[in-house]
Amino acid sequence: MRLWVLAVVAALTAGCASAAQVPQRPQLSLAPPQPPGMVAPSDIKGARDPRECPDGKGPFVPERSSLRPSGPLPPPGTRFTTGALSTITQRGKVIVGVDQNLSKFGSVNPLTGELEGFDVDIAREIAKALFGDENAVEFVVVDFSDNFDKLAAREVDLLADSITITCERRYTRQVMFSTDYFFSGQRVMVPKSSPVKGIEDLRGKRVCAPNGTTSIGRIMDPALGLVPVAVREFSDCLVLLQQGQIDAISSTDSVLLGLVEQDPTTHLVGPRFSEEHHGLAMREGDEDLVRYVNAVLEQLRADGTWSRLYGKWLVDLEPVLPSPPPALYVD
Amino acid sequence: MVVMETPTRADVVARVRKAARSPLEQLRGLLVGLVGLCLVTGVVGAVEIADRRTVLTEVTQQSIPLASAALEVYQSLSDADATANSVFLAGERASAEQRTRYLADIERAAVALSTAAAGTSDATARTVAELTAQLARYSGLVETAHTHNRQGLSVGAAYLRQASALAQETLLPAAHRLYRDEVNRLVAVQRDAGSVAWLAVVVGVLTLGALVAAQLYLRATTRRTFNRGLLVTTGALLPAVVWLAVASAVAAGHTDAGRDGVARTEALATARITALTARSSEALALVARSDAGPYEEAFRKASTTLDGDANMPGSLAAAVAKVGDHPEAKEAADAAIGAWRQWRELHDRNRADLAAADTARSSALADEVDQRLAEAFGHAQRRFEDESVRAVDALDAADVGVALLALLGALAVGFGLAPRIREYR
Repeated sequence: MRLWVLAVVAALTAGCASAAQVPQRPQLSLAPPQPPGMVAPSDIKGARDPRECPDGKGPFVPERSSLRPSGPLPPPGTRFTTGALSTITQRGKVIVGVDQNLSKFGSVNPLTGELEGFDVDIAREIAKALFGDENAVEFVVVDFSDNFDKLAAREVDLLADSITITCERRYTRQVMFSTDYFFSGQRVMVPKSSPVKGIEDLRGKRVCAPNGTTSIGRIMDPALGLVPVAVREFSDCLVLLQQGQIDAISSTDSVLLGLVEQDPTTHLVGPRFSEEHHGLAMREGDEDLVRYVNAVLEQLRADGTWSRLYGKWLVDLEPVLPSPPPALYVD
Repeated sequence: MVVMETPTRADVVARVRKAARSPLEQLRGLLVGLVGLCLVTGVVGAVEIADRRTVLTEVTQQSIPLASAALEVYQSLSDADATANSVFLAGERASAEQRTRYLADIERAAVALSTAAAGTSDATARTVAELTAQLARYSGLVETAHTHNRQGLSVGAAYLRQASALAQETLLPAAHRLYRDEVNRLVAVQRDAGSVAWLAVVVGVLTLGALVAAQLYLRATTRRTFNRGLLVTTGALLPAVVWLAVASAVAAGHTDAGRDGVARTEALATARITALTARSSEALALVARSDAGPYEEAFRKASTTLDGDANMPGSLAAAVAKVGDHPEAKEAADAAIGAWRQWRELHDRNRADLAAADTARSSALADEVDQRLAEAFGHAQRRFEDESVRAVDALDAADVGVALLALLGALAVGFGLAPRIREYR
């Protein structure tokens, strides 16, 4: 009888028992966090050198590629009857594509939530010339992944996005640039603790710039032997540098200035190794707008506004406040 | 050496037949057979009930809390992401409430994850570990963004974008996966446990049949009309079999009701996740200041899902259809639909005129939708939990009870037949 009881108990407990095993901790190897829009190495695309043209086009001189103003600047509030200007004046405001993550040129002030920078101020000056009101401007946020597409889709009248004037963009994007509104050149930004003294020390190292820019185009130059890392925004590069995911950032010093200022443990090294003229971009069909914007820029150069704005935003870029770039025209 | 003569097959058969014909051997056979049947009834019954109870207890103690913890992880992370982005959007005008809300979200996510980690199976342990590790990273990135923002540095926005990408691309999909895994496991477990214990009932009925036959046989071969021992055995086994059948059937009934509850809570949870996606997409679109960007596209997609018919998973119509028989849950779900319609209209108005956009109202309506769905979910969840607890209660003590009754029956067989066997000595 006792045996039977034991058998019953054994049978009952057998149902509950499980194969004994000490559980193992899962082994994780998490990838480092990435900014949204990080570009896979095979999809990185850089803009070509400013003077390098698509087949059958050119020669091209970036600083001498725009159209002469059609006369003196008409008074603010003038109603235009033809062309792009008539659309803008009928609308009562100019729509400008600006960056919101490009410190010094177009970025959101985290304290006020407002857009600010050199490009933003230039856009306001254009609105002031058109309507006598610097607030008659609507800002549409763009970055280098979508700025020319938004221009082509007529979502904006013009782009003020620190864009380097290049022959490739002029013809493949069907845009016309304004005259040169500021000049800078590409340099290298590294942590102060880094032994890197210039671009030549970065062979085999990871170097970051936004996709589609002339900066990433140069980083991709096989002769330099860099490992390009392409993101969507310039500030994404700074995050990656602070997280130790990259070794350096390389872009125009005007852009890098805005990044260095946000991180005192970094600095610029080496000389400029490119010459970049920057222009406001418009659709090539909007010739009247191009000529008008150039007239505004001439006035800004002449009346000291350009120097005031340059001094306000980019004063640390060069030892001496430069003169405005000269206005040169193809016609 | 003695050579043993191997008995032929015919010899053996004859000897067994002779033995079986002897009354003593027949009584011994009866004793062994009946005791065996009683014990088998007890063991099979107890094991079947204990199995069901183990599984259903796991449902209430583990699967339900895990599934709801997984949903909580998703919900709080989605809210944290949307809130962190709104705080950034508001700059220094951001209220202390919004900041507190973000911190509370992170806390809720961490608590829910610890619940999930405590009861997790091997299959989901990896997901829970990943979520825990990434949550620490996520909150680190948000705090870095916050610190930079306070100093007026625009790189803060880049940290926030990275944090948001981590939430949207890694954390939320992992939390959703965890929820799906837990719900699937819950449904599978309930399917296995929610049936009548037929095998045990059949064995029990056969044993009862054998008992009746044995008593008829004894009446025919002995002078006694009743065998008291076998009567006791019958008296013990009959309630045992009835108990088996009733307890397992009642548990199965509650489990079926609980299974409907899973479908109900799941429809509500999916609708809520869709509404949360719409909310965080709207907040992110505002931060990006881009009305045609991927965030608006995500909002449109969520909006289409919410407006879908009752067959579309994640639609509000599906959620209402599932809670149709539950008045309180239905009322809350209907209120959610009302708030969603207002929100959708306001969203379109806001987009038409970005300068005059009433984002505060839009965010309040989004909260309203979420809260109403949470309320409906709470009602449905409570009912589901009640059913699951009742299913376990129905099986309470049945395994031990059936085993003891069967054991009693087996003992009584011995007491009933032993004197008859002794008579032959």
